Amino acid sequence: MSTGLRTTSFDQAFPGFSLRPAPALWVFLVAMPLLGVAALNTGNNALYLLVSLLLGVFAASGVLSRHTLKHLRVALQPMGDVFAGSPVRLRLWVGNGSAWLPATGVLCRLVGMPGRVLVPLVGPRGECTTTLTTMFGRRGMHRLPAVQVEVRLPLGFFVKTVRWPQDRDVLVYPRRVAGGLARWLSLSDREEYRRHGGRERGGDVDQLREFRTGDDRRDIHWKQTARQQRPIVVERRERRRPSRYLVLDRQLPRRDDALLAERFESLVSEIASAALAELQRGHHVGLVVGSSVTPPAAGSTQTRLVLGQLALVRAVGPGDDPLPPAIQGESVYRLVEGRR
Amino acid sequence: MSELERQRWLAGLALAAAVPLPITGIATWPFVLPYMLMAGWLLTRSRLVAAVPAWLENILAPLVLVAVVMAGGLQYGVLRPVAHLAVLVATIRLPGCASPRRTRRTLVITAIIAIAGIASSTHPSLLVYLLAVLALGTVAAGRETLLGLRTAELPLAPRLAWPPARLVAATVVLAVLVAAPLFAMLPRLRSPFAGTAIGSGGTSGFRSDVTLHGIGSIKVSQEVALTARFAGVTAPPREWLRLEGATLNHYRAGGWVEGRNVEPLPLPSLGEAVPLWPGTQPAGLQRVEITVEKPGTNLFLPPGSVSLEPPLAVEVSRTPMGVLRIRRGTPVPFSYAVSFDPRRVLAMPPEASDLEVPRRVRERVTPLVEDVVVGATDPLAAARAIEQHLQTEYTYSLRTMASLREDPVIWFLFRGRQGHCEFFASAMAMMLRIEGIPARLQVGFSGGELQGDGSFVVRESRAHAWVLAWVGGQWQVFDPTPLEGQPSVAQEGWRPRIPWSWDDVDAAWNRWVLTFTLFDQAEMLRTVVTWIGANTRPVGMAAVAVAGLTLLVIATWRRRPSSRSAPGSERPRGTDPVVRALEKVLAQAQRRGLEVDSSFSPQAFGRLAAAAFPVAREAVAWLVEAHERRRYAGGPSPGRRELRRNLAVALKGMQQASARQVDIQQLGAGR
Repeated sequence: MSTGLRTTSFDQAFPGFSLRPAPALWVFLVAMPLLGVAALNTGNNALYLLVSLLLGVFAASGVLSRHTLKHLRVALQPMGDVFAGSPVRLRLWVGNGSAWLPATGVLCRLVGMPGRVLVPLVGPRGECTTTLTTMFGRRGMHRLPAVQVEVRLPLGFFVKTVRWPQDRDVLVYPRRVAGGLARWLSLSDREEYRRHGGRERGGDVDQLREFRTGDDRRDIHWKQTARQQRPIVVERRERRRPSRYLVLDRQLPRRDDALLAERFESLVSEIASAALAELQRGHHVGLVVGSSVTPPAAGSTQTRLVLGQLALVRAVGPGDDPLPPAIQGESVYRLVEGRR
Repeated sequence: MSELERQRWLAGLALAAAVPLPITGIATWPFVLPYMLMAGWLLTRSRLVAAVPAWLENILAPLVLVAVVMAGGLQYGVLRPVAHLAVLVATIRLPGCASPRRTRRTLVITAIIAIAGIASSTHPSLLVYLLAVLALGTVAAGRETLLGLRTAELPLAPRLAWPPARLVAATVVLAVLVAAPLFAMLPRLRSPFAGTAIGSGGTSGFRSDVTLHGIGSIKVSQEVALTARFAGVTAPPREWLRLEGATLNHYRAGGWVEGRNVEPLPLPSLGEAVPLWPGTQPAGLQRVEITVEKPGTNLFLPPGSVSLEPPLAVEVSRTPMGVLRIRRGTPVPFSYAVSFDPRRVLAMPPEASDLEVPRRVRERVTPLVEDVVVGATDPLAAARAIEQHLQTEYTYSLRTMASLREDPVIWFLFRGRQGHCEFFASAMAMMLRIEGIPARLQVGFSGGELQGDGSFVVRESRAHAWVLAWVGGQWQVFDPTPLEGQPSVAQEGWRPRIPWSWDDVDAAWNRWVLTFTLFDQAEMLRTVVTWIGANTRPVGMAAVAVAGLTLLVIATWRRRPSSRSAPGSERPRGTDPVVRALEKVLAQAQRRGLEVDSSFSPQAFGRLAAAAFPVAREAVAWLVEAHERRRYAGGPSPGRRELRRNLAVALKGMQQASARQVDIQQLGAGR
């Protein structure tokens, strides 16, 4: 709970505690009564000594494993970008708060997801960082899964388990697919998109001409203007970068249709894969999702921006978030009903 | 764990299990040696050893049984043949033990061997052995567990799959700490390890009844039993130090008891010396002061004791056999004085039971008696002949192997031909009775160590048994034990008395481990209860102080900064009363089956709890609203009474119902 609420002290120390008997326990439970009866029947104090020590070691095993479990802490961190359906490595930090007892044979699993790792030894007041590989099934913002920590030693009679929930979220990008040809929309000749990077300043000087309305004031050639007593601009050969957008119409033909929702996911994956491919080539990519426009850019920041938007985009019903009027009827990614 | 490594571990455990066998004698060397050689060979092999073929096992199986039978079978009890059988079977089965199918059976057989060895051990080093085996077992279990976790997905280098030494040491230490009180508290219904009919060892020392069955070694205890000081005499004859503790005249099933159940009669307390025998002359009497150091129920008297100056504040009673008894649990040390006539042996007149001989013993021993006493002209000569025969023809030994299926006297006279003083005395008593001479067994102490101040220290190791025979119209003492087995009077050695020397350790081991009994448990409990009762006020105050200090330590410990926590995972603690109330409600909801994700906001939890526990809905909503008002709107804390009331309603409402499973998605709970 974000407000600092906490559970009882046992639950706090051992969240999600569970105890599972191991095969060795059954052997012990069969042997101990036999030994006890033998000691009782014969009055042999050496057997009593053996029985006492075996009971003592049973208790000691329980105490020490509980001590180990109590002082273990774990934390997960994603490493790099996370894509749905792709193996992802998570960094696992394991800390041992015990002042004197090392933690041995600690098995860490992710709850509800694949991925586990065996930490052989964490010394007293020590820590260890390792990685494990898992996979997120769906895109979106996910809370990192809880880590289930299992301890067996010293004797392996029980498998004691706690579950440490994680506080961090991870943004899972859409699934990468080998899609077909991407449907790009060029908007460089649209006035409203011009200032979103349809033109790029710089380039070789083409000519000097008189200033016209709409020219960039930074292109004014002040010397010539002073000489000719009229505004003169430098016209350069524009390095037009392609104003390429990927456009996603997130309106579904019908609401609450599971099949359409699933197809929408495939659509998002396709767009994301196309965007990623272009961005990895160093090209500029813009994104239009419903009424939201992300200007084209390149680089890692743009990649994260575009993929992040696609990771969080949700389908809406018809008419809930129409595309900008300028893009109506253009080549966009949208789901349509098939003809029957 | 690889099969080769498992083979080595099993071989090592088998060797460890075999360690006590040759020392205790429970399994003889012809059986133990092949077993140890096989285990040692497997331990050193660098490749797997295949199992013995089944056809060969079938051939060896009857040979094993023959060997066990020829080694004595059940005549020495159950433990020896079981040990022999287990050792031979293990020798055959150890090869190929690493295969998963045979590992478990090998462990079972090894465990049987280990238990047989442990059960027959009496030496204090048994504790060291047990701890070593415990540590070895912990290491083995840890290694097996760690290697068992290895998979292709979970690689683990074998060199890392060892349990840390600190963990093993902590396990052993903690096990010992738990085991010590458990050992004292485990219920006991039988006589202790030493001296039982099926027991495999005994401890020397005085005992008021004698059991001859048993197998194993007698341990010699150096604990001080009593001290004696003879008035005006610094070098008394040896016979003065033959201190009688009990006189036994009933021989039953291989043991001696004093008599039928007759309550001892208390001696009158006259405030001065109590005569023990009427008509004794005061002239020529000697006096000895005896201080009893070890708790017991008997007083010890030199031969010819005529009067007793009883110990102060100790109730003394006398059995029909004339044995002096005190109440069990009498605090020690205490002292008493005895006047005695060293020229005489005084005891109750002979009776019919002094001639009782079991039929089987009579049948078997009569020819021997006739051979021994041939030529004896009177009962005294016959008695001397029997005494001499036993002293010369038989060997003194502390090692006993008296069979269960045979009378121990018969076994001693015809097969074992060796034993300790009780065997010699018992045999002589039976032979005298067969010859028609009333005889009794006396047990007590014989000899002592002269100290610098003229007193004599009598240790438990000087416990001895001898014979009283009615010869020539009076009781006379006969000691058939060979000289090397008779306790003597020794000068005090220069050996310094080192505290906690090996003798002390051995004595403590014998007293508090080997011979720990139900009586000792009751005594401990009684002592504790008595002490508490006598010191109720200070104990109560001490208990309260200790409890208070413990609570303070616990509270301080809990408030300390948490142990190393993951980065960014620190949880603030609630100190606000509304927050604490919500924490309790949350805990209760979880206990009643509601699954609450840690990321839920209070509002989300409130909606969830209200849906799952409709009875508590209003109270939970009130708590959530009060929390939000306080936290986000800076509002005042609600009234304490109102807070308590809503908390109680919420908890009670949850208590009375299990959580309805609620889909969080349907509630649209935000995080």
